[in-house]
Amino acid sequence: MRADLEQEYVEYVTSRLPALRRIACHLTGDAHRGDDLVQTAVTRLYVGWRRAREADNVDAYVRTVLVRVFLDEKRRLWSRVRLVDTPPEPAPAPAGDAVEDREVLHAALAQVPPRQRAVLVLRFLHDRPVDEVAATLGCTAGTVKSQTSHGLASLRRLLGMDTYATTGEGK
Amino acid sequence: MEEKLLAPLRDVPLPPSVVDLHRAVRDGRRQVRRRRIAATATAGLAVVAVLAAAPALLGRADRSPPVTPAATPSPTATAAPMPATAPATFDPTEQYAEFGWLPAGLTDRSVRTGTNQFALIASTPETSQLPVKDAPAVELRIVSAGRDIALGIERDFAVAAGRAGSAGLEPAEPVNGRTARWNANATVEPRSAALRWEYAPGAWAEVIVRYLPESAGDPRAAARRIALDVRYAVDRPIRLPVRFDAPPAGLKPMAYVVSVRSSGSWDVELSYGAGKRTKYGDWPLAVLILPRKSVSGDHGGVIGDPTSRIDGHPARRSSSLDGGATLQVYGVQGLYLEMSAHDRATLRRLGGNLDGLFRSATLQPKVADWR
Repeated sequence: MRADLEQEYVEYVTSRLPALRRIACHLTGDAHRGDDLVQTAVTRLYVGWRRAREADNVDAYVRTVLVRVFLDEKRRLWSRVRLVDTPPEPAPAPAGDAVEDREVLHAALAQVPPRQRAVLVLRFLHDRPVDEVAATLGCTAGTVKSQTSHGLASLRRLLGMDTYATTGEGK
Repeated sequence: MEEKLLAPLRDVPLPPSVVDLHRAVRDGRRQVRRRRIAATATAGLAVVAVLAAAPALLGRADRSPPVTPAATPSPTATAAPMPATAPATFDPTEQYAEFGWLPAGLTDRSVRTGTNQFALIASTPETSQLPVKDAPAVELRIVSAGRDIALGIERDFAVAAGRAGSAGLEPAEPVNGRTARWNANATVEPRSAALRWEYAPGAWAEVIVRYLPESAGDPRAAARRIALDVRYAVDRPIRLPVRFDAPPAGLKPMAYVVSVRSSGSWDVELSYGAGKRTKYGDWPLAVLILPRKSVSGDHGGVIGDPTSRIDGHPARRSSSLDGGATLQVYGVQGLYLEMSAHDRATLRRLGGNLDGLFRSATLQPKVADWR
């Protein structure tokens, strides 16, 4: 890759790294596993940077790379194992009920099937519109809506909120 | 309402990042090189098989003869001798070990050398029907003394002793009396097995079997048998299609990747340095050579079109982020060459560009002529 393109790639990834890490953490349910995911995605992005930089929406393109790496079956199999010598340092967090609630929610989200989880993460934690999520996942807007509905139902069930009133979201 | 359900996760605090952008650049460069090789190898599938035994091509013809893979397993195979000590470092210009027994049909070979690690891969011939990554293969990994083998499938698998961890390792029957472990981490593919053993006191080897055909029996049994029959300290010089008039700019070989296939295709990646990698983790100088008659790009974006010439050959020159440069030369005696100085200092040592290095190279397009 030409020097100017490499420089552009480095500057782009550096500026977007916090956002990518946050999406990856939501997808994987674990900040360190999320960083593994980002590492793979930005490496893949390097290889395809020439094409990526010409996309109409580079950020959406890169989110697509990240989500597809996450959904890759082998990657998911591989990610069952954490290959570190020592447990990672826990994230600094204030103590209290909010933290406990968050951990319960995180654990529940991590059990939602991957594609449904990706839909929930992109729509409700990163505010991406249905059409963009559909493009990211390579499916129709209708499928995104049904995945949203199923994902939310799974999440409620996992949280013991089966009787939670539906709002029409995802229909 | 649904946004509120997930709202507590919006601002979840993150620990410091362990994403390594330098590593992404280095690995990305490697993947680009591998894609170029893959694109060319696929194009060469129509070549009539000319190589009777690929293993012989990795070593001198006047040295040890190649080991012919057995057609069927024999449960009475005896164990090959193990070394009393492990090398402190490997010589990247030599093949440290060789397979003995292998399941039938794994005729393609790739050897990857380095100062702290050695890998030898046997795989079935490439076909357009079966992607290379899904083809049956056996990989032997060996590290030098004072190193461990990473648990996963990293290309750079030699890690400092004690740093590999033990998650996913299970006790295994000793290999020739030496401690052994099954490694579940490296076997996500179907019909796979990974067995690591202490081939010398404090030094480890591992064999990974992937996509073993049903006809070859149990993957763990195959892995064990392969492990028992590894030949160590072969120390066979690796034959190459290129010689430089002088060692490039005083740099010495740090890592070789040489792949030879029964289809007739091959590729060679040579890395040189003075012991230290560049900021982005590359060796300072890399040379890629593979057969390719075309004098233009591949229109698929993997190999770009030439933009200049050198000594009458179509060429492409580019600079890199870290002050280095790459010279691609097309159709030189039927070969494609790519030379990359990965930092400014190396480029300066080479005289400011890679033209001199190209001109100092003597090429041998025929595998039989490699020295």
